[in-house]
Amino acid sequence: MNNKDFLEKVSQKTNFETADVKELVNQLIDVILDDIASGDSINVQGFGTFEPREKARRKMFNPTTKSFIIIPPKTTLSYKMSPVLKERLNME
Amino acid sequence: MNEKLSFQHIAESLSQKSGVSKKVSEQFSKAFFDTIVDALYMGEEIIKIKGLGTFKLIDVESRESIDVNTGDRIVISGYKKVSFTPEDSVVEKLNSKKIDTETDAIIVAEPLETMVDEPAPVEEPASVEEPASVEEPVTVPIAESKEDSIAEETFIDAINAEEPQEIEKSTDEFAGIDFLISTPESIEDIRQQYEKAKSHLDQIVEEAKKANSEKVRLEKLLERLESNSIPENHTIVEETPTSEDSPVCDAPEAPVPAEHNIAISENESVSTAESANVNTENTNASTENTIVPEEIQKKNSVNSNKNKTKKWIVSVVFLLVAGIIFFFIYKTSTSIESVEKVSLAEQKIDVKNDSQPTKEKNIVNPKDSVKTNQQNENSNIVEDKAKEQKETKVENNEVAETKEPKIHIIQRGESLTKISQRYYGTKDSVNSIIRLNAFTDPNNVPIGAKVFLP
Repeated sequence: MNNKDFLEKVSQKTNFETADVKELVNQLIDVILDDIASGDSINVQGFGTFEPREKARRKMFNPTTKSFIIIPPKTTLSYKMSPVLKERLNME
Repeated sequence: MNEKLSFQHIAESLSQKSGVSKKVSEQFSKAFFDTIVDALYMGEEIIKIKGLGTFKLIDVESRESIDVNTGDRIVISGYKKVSFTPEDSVVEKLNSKKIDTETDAIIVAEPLETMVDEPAPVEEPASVEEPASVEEPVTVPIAESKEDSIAEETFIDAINAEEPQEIEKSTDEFAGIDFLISTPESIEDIRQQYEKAKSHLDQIVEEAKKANSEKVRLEKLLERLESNSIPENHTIVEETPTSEDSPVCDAPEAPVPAEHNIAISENESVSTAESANVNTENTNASTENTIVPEEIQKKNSVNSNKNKTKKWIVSVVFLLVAGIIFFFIYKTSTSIESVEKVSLAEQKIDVKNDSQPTKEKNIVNPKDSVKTNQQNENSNIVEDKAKEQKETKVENNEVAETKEPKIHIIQRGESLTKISQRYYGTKDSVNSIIRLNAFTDPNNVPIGAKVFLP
């Protein structure tokens, strides 16, 4: 399912125009990312948890140049599905 | 900071940002997450949301594990899980915002991290280099010595293209060197062996150069002899202008001394140098004998008819030239002729002057002496090379006529059929070779084995 299909489905559910849905989805994502960036985690019941995850700095060996590169630390977005969703997905 | 925000919080902030009512934003947010869950539930494997990332439905296979409390084996049944990969833009956004907000923290953190990390790259190259430095002295000398040996072989090959036996023996020696190299015990041993091998190689190079110069000298001698022998024939031709018989006489006379020479040369291969001198004397004598009757014939013919002489001269010279050409062709096809014998004899004299040691030593297998010590080796090498130069020329005669048992040392890539082909011209004598030598396995004769030739 790509982004277009997803927006259509959301518009079906909400009876909004897809253009409006697109706008709202972008704003929702912005809200989520702002919260994550500030270090908070977001828990949505029945869906899962979005969490900022700190990746430590690490050394990587470049085999072609045979030198070590230090990759700086970074933060990524991690998602963990909720137990409810897991149960629902594995009902069969 | 580090708070657990709920769905309601998000809906609120969405309504604030977009300006829609709180109810609508709540509905919309619910619809957003429900759509994802429904899609996953409907078996949609990949859900891409632009600006956020990709949700994937993954099947986890069932696996065996051990109950930590009881120690029993249990099966964890397979299940489906949802994985999420954030978009690159998301990660960038998160990190850029983090730098904006937490610049102080990063500045404080960096010097600490460099302090921690600096010793690590120093340790690692050292640990890498140490084993390398140990290995290098082991590998390098072997490689160099092998290169030397290869260069040596090619060098000797170039020198002795005409003399295969010499190549065989030199390769034997390199087999010995390989044996030295192939049993390394420690680095010092290898170094010593390498130095030994190198000095040995240097000696071989000197020997080869000597042999080469010797060979050049011999070739010059041969040329001189041939140039001498050809004018002799021409003088004979001009001295015998009259009789048609003279070319006919000339041709049969040549083989006669040649046969004498063969008989003598057979003895020669066993006896000393003096017989060779005798041989040359005989050949000289035989050529003198050929001249004497021709001179008599010439005198008679000149007295009898002077008018026809010029015509006769033309015809006879022509016939003689034809005869000489035929004679040389005959010489090259069969190895029984006089001129080569003369040169052979000369060669033998020359060689014997250079290296006094007898041939009987050479008949003893040279490989044994190679391994005993280097001094013996050197003397043997000289002997071998001198012998080989003789043998290669005499070989054809010996094989054809003498019945002495010969020894051949098997080289890499040789087979008994090849040896048979080489020495006897046919593959049929393989069976006789096998009978004489009583091999354990005639199809797999080891390299360096001595083969007695019937």
